[in-house]
Amino acid sequence: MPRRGLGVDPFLSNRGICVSKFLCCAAAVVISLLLLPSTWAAETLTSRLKAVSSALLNAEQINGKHQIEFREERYSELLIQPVTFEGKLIYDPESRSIKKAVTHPNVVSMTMNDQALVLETSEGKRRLSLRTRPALRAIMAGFRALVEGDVDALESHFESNYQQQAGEWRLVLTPRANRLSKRMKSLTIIGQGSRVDSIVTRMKNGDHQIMTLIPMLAERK
Amino acid sequence: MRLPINISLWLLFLLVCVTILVFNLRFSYDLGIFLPAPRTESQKVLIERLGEGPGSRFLLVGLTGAGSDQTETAQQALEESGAFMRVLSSTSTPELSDIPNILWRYRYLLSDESLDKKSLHESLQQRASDLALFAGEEFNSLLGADPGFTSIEIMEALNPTKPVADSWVTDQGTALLIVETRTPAFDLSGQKTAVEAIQNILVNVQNFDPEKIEITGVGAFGVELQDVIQSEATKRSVLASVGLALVLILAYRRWRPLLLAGIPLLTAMIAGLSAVALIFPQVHGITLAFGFTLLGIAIDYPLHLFSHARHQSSLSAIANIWPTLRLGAASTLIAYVGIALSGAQGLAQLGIFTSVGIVTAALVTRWVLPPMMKHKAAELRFDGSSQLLGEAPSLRWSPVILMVVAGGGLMLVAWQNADNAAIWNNNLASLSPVPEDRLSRDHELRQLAGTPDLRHVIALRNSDLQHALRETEKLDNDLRFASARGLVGHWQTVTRLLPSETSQLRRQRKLPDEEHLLRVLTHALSDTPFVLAAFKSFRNDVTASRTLPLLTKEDFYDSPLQVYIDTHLYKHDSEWVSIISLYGLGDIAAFKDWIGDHGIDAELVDLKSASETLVASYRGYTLKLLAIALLAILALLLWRLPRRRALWSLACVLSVLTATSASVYLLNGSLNLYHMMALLLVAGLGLDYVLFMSRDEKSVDDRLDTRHAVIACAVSTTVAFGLLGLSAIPALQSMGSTVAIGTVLNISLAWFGVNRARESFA
Repeated sequence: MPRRGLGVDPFLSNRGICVSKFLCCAAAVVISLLLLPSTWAAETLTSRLKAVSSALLNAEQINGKHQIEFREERYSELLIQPVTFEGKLIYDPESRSIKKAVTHPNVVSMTMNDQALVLETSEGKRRLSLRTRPALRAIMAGFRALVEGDVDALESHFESNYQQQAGEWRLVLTPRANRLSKRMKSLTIIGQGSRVDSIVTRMKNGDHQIMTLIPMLAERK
Repeated sequence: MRLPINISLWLLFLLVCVTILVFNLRFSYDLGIFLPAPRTESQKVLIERLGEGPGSRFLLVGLTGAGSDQTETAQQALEESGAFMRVLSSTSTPELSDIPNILWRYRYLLSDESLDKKSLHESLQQRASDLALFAGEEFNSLLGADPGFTSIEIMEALNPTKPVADSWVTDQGTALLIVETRTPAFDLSGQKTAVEAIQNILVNVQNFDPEKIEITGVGAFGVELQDVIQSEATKRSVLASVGLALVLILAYRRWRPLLLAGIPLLTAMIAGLSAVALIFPQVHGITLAFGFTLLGIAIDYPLHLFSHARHQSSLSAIANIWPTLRLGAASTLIAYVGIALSGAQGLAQLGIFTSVGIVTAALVTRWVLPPMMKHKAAELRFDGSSQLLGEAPSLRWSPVILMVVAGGGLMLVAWQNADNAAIWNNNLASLSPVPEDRLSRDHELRQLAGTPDLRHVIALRNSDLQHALRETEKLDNDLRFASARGLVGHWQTVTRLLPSETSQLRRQRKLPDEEHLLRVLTHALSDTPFVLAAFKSFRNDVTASRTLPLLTKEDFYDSPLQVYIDTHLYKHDSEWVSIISLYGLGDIAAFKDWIGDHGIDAELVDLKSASETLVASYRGYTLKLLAIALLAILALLLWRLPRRRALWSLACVLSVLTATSASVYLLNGSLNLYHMMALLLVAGLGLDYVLFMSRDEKSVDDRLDTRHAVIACAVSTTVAFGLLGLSAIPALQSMGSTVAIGTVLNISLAWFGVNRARESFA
């Protein structure tokens, strides 16, 4: 069956790189949490996030960049068992870019700013515009809304639902934009008190990934 | 009022011509028809590919000081306009939103990617590490059907730009976008629309400062030149017409001749144009430009009539001068018919246009003008009182010899001044040069985006398509060695999309059968996180590929990949030509040698040198034809005139041609095609002058009228073309100056070449 609308950027030189509308949303949201400003409205959700953000803002800083280690588990019907990746999320406040740098099992990374996505693998580097990739663009817009403390903007991209149960809280974000909601079901941020423990990304096809933030793990111990 | 029959017929003729023009006139700007039949391989490629080479449809848009935001909005706006094939920037690697069906279906016949255990295993491991960055349905389906990403690799190989920098921004902060036009570069009207659309979108919609937008590229340059030439030509033509009018007013002191003088010329142009429109599907712009120039001689015919009508009725005046006028027109006609027979369609158009024009102008002067002129019998002085002349004027050879000697001397001086001693300028670019700084700017922007080399391609030809494809594949493979030596960066061939049947069959046979593939895949999957069930589509597609009918050129018809195929493969006469586009060329000479030593019948084509040899052969051929025409003219003159007068007339024309060429050579350093066309006109005018000046006049008045006419002709021509010659546009400058110089020499020789000692009594 000939395939149409694969959404693959056909001119990517490196076989390992195939981006287009594939998602890299978790990174964006986590990093944005790192930097949540103190302008949230005084509601349960926002005051909670404010506390989280101020805690996270004290995360390790190197050369003015906020860094946080993560471990991510990937679940898919394609896979025999979940695949685990490790690496760092890095936020550069100067260029407002976020980077997901995977260090294990292979070194690959992706950096995203307002306009473009830069992918780096052992096979090379490629820069891609976000302009023609609306799903990625929606994520970046959501990210910006979070960073700027713009609840309205965030809500324009995601429907949010805050739940609290026995000390653990969950912020469930559901994409509103059709292009994104066709692929992604929800983004759930899970934490306790002023701490973000993990982020769960659920795709429409049943695949999901769970990203656990290492500093939180350390604190737990 | 009853119209005389002549005038009625003339009006009827005009009506027919105009009708033809309304229904048949189509313009074209395809330079190809103006070039003669190519003789060498390079010339063939040049003619066939003129304006269709790889990358020739690119317009490079430089946005000075635009940030990445602005560049992106600009790109988006241009893309959304739908006016262009595609808009490229450094970030939007050229995007087909879908992998074309045909490519997806045939991906395993288009790639040498082997489906053995080892390479499959490597691919799967690579996909496993991709999981860190990508998720979602699309990724999963692609992975499940094409784990080697073969389809993406094939598409990647077709990418027309190979960026050398991360972002397309020059050191001076100019951001680059590339717009690929829908029309080929030689289609100037299409290119003009594209350039205007870009400017309109950027300036009016995006509010860019027009000062900060620059557009370069083959098409953009063509449009610019056309615009400049058109406006300059219009301005200069108006100036020349005003100059002409002033001279006529001065010569005849009346308005009427001024109006009447235009009638033969205009009728000639309309008739000539109708003839060309009737015979050819399209009239070339250059036919008009050169044709109008060559028809400049038609303005002289009514002047002879007017001058002679000063002392006699217009009817008797025309009867008086008709034999001479007819002879001059017939001689000119022979030269123009010669051009018509030259073989190139463009020249044939030019020849037919001017031949028909000359005949028409002469006939209109003979039959239509006289009845239109006022007969002021009272003013006529041809009443017998004028003294009759008994003898024919004697002709002098000394001025002719002097002219030849002077011309030769000038030529020698010029020869010594010129560094390269090349008389003829063969550079097509010198005919319509784009300013050097614009060209280097274009080059700089192209470097940034890594677009294909515009000047060099490899051409490989064979009468058998499959043979041509096989050889292309071999060369494609072997070019790696040239690349290793730094001779070429990379290259693109048609076989990336259309492999030879041999290759397709070989790949098809190599594909594992269902059972084998299952075994291989199962092995390859060990150590990877993937489940076998995920690759069902892959297994189905590979199995289906084993029995696919072989891919043919026709399968790409109407697909987005058609342009790629057309750029790299075409049929000329009975031969297939496979074009290999080149990127990042190093040492050209060494590369040429490498291809020469390679043993395949392929050639590195330098489109610039091909154009130069083409111009040279074009000129050589035309010169030969003109030599033949000259002999025919000599025969005509010998038949109609006393032998001495015939030889003298022709000698005058030739000596003036020598002296004019020498002068132009001295002034310009070389002669180009425009000079040649102008020299043709100079010859026609010169013959006219000497024929009239050496006429066996009946009376003193008649002689005075002849001199008056010739002077009026010469002065008006010199003034009109002199004004054209002052233009900065090379074409106008070359033509104008040549005709002006030639006319001055013509009139001098015609004047001093005829002995009028016995006229002093008048």
